[in-house]
Amino acid sequence: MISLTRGRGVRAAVLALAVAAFTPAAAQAATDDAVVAASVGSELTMSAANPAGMTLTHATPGTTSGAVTVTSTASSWSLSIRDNAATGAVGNMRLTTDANQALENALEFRLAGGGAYSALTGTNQAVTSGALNDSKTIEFRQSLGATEDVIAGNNYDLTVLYTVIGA
Amino acid sequence: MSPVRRVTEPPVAVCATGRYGLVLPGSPAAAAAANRSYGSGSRHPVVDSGVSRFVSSHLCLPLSLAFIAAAALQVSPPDAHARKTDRQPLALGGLTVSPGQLNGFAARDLGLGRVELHNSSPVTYRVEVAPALLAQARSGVATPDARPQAVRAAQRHMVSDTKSFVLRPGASKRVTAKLVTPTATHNFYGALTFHATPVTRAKQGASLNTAFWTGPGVLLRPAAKHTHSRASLDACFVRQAGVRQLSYVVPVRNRGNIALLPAGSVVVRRAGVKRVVSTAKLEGKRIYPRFVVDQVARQDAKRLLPKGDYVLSARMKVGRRTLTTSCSMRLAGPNTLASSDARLLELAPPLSTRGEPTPVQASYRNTGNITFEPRAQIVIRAADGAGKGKVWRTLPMRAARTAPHQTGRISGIVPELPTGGRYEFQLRLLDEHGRELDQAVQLVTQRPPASLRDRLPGWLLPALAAFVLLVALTLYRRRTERRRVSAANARIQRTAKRHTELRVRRMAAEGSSTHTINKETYK
Repeated sequence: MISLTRGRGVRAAVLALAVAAFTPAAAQAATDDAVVAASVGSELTMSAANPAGMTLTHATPGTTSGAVTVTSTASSWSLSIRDNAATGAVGNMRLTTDANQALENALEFRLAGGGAYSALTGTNQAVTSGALNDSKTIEFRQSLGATEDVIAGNNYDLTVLYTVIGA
Repeated sequence: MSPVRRVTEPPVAVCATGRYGLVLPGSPAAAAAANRSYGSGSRHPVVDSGVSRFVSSHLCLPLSLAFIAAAALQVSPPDAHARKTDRQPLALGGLTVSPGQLNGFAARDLGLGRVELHNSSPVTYRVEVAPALLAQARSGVATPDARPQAVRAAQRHMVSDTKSFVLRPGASKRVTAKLVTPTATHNFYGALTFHATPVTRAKQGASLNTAFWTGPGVLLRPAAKHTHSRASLDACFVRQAGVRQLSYVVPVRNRGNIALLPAGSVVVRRAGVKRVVSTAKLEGKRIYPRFVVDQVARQDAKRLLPKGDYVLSARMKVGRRTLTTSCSMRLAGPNTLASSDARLLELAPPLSTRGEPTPVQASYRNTGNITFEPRAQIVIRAADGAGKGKVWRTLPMRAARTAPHQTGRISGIVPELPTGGRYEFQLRLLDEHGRELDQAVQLVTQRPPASLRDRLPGWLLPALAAFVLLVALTLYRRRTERRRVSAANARIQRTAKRHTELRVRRMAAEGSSTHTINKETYK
């Protein structure tokens, strides 16, 4: 410090010498740099929680949402969605006890945050894209037909297939 | 699947043997620590220094207690939960594929190594392993090609040692794959896909289950001396991406046998003026062989281009070659594309009678922002018989010119259809560049011409009406004529009588006797 007097400077020097004298020898030894190298491996992780169950009525469509998280070491990825079923009423929720009985209207989806709902089909439809680690929320909506006959207590389900390929 | 487990909730102190250091809440290390607790097997390097060793050996327990207390304090405020749920979860239970991508050169009997699938979720999955070829959308999204012929082709080229297996929570499975048929002169752009479906399904109310289709892309080039880097640009066009947001789109077609990553930009000039008014960089999306991908550049939203005509020039470097294309753009307002868009409102079912022309009537709404007349055409196909689906004729229709948001009429006449049976009338609405704006289809069943018996009432009634009218007209004319004649006779008689009276008066005035007068009068 510029404003130090001579007396203070001497005291500082003595203190420095004392510290040096009491420091272990190992700390004074010459150091070698050990370089630890690492390269990022290639991986792709997809995870999603099952969306909560919906309650369907003729008056109000059932809505729910599910978060999908993709962790990729590739610079970008794209998420597509389709019905996991390949046959039957593809895109429509089916009675859990009889897959031949399906709801009249197709399940609809959209990326959270606006936009129009699209009907789920049996072919892949791009939903969104992202980069590296990202989480997206997808909203689902299921409406009943105006004159559709459904019985209270019946359970309907559908398996949503999320697709991300490391390409 | 159970609800998502969030790793950001409690702070984590890691004091395990051989791993020293502190992991802060919300940090990647916390995520890694949480992953370890879920059995994901991920590893995160932690600081290992003398200080940390001292801290861990002497202060681990007190610090852990302090962190637990801090965690309790952090969770206790009522708004804590809301605050935490706003954060993006870094690690959820799911499926991890490693490696995520395989790159190299194609060769016969090429071993692709082992691909590991790890299940870090609490759900048991049934996994189907299948090779696939890649299908790429114009947006650039690559997905497994699910068409049967593509699936068969992929199975001819690639085989795996496992076709299906059950993957329990926390378990891993290694699958070995091999390329069989492509030689060094060929490429292979596909994927080794894992189609994972949950073994048990949720059965409460209307519920959705989650399945995954994932896997490493297998991107193999031909040997260097057999690579062809060829591409072409289709005509560029402009898309209204939002309010005052323009996107310039340049479709690039990969005609070579290796994946391409083009780079370039779009230059915007006023029509007829050389000065550049804007430049936008095209985003480089990878294009796999055989596919067309739209490369998009966005107009800077802060730089508003005023109403008028512009010329766009796109320049792209694809491989070693530089390609160019250009197109025009008309703006109806600042950064607002002149849009000649229209939607069909109604195509009235055409009534077709065998041997007679068929009139077609339709209406449309101008959904664009300029006044224009769309091009309309009708495509006629046979709907049954031997030539089902074959186009018989395409004819232009006349569409009225309409202002934005107004409704216009489309009309036209289809000449006599060749044979009986049903026809499909497809009305297409096109813009000035031939781009389809909308279309509608009606099935037309030709009716036989009406029989004489059916047509007789139709003829008889007008004929009868005409006869009655004619008779009425004749009677009216005769009556009018008769009246006219009698009126004329009466007038003559009145005139004669008046003349006689005048003569009598004159003779009386001249002094003639009454007898003479009478005699003369009746002569």
